[in-house]
Amino acid sequence: MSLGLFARLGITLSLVLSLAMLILGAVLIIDAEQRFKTSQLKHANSQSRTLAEASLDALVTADYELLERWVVSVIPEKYYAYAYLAKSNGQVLTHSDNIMVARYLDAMGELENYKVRENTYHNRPVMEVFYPARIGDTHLANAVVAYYLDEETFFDGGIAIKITLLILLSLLSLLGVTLVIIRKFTDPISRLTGSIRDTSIDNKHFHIDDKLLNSWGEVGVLSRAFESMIKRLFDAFKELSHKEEELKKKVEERTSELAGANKELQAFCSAVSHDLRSPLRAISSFSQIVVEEYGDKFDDEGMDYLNRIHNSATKMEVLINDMLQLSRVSRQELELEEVDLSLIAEEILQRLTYLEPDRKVELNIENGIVCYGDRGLLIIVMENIIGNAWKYSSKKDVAKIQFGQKQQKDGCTFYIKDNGAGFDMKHISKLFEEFKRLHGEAEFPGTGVGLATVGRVISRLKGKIWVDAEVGKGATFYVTLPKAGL
Amino acid sequence: MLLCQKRACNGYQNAGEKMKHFILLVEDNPDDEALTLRAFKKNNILNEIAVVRDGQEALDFLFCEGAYAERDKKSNPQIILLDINLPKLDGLEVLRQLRANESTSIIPAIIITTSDEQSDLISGYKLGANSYVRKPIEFDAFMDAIKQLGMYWLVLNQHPDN
Repeated sequence: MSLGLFARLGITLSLVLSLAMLILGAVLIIDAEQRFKTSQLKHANSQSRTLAEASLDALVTADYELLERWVVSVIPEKYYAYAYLAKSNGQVLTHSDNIMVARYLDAMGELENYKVRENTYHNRPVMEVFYPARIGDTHLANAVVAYYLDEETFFDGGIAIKITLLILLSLLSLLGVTLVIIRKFTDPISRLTGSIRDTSIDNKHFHIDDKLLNSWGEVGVLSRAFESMIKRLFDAFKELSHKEEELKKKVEERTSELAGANKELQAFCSAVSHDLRSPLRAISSFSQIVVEEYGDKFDDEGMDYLNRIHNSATKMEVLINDMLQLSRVSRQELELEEVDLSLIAEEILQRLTYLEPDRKVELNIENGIVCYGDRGLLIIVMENIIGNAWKYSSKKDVAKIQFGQKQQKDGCTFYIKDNGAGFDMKHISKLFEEFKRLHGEAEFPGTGVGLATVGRVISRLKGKIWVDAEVGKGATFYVTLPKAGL
Repeated sequence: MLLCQKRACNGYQNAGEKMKHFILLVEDNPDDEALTLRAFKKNNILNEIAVVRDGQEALDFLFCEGAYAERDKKSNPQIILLDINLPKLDGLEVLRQLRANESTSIIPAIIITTSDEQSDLISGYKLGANSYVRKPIEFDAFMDAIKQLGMYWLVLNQHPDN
């Protein structure tokens, strides 16, 4: 509604008042008309009676001249059409219109009293009023006076105009007063509406007139209720933004703490990377040099001990590398993209084949397996799982390694299957734990960190990993990664 | 006023003499230094090797300042083997200053380091290293690496004379 309350009320009331006034005016005019008609009739009645009684003497004496004069004199007003006297059989004795004398008009018989009849005269409607001229019981004649029904004198009288003007004036003044009154009532509502509309929570601006707040009635109640409601809202908002500020600060604190912790960890790893490796190199290298340069001076036991020193150093390097990788995997920021896992599998297997060209391995790599994730981390996963498949199938004459995709609705699933040593499924809980191994060092070398790293990567990528294995027959590792956008 | 390690330079100590085709080794770890020198020897790489122990010493040597003020300015090493983790100034800083200076800007610099941090790798190349090699733990692998380095940088690779 684009019109305000005042406008709507004003228009409605104006229409109602106008309608009422119109009806009143019409009623008045009709009433006036009726009255006029009645008075006309009454006048005609008296005229016809006058004619009847005045004509009695002349009728008896048959004084037609006198009768003629009477008939003419009785119709003074413009709207009278004619007057005549006629016998009971309708024979016209005398008529204001000379032509009609001695003619026969409608026989009205011997009337006892007034009779009123409509007729036409020169194509105009007339009202005829009959009155009997009687002396005692003797009926002499009927006196008739006729007046025009369609005479416009009513409006000549100007009564209609007067009434209309009066009505209009009343209407206008009533309207004026009404509009003023309703304005008085709608004004507070409009002002309250305006205040409410101007209330802006963002700018914390709201103002309601004291006059409104103190007023009686519904507007007052509304104003006060609104004011208290807005006040409470503003307070609540202030509280909320305050809490928001606090929360933001806390989050910032936590984030910087975390960033700090992460940085420390990074520095630590960097230090490990350098500082542990240097003495390690010394141990490994010098023990080897001793073997090379002075090996002939040692007996078998001595050589054995030297070799153990050397091997431990080597193992330690592998362990350091694996542990650094494990830690890096948790810290690194993810860069997610579509990654072609088939290509990665091929590269890894190519490298492994190059390093051990004498092994007989049957490879079955499905092409075009593409999943969504962090490329670097997925390479680590593939290296570890495929590396394991390669390692644990080394004792078989012909190792079989398969890389393929499993169709699944919600995610990208691939598997790596080998026909190697496998393991007992009842130990599966240890599989992804750090440093836990299901085979001895002598059987298959390893640090026990590889699958722990894989487990961490998968959980970071919000994927799933599970295994199916049988001792002596091999193992199949399944990995599911969520599709992009999930 | 030592110009370089006695052992490595075969007794060379004189300021005025030109040392052609010598290698500058910037290494703080005495074990690694010993291993590197042994690796060169075992691979029959007979170039003279000058050793400096920290970043500042490296720059002093190259720019003939401080303790090396008397060194012949025109005599630059054929290659520089640079570790990253050094006391005083680290290897990357040495590299930066090396490349900034006209007289030393084109000396091939090979970073040999334990670090496998990507950031070090990227910084090394950005600052103008010619090569980046990780020090292997295994001495065999180290020997092999030195052999390949020697073959490439001292024999195969072409470089303008000083």
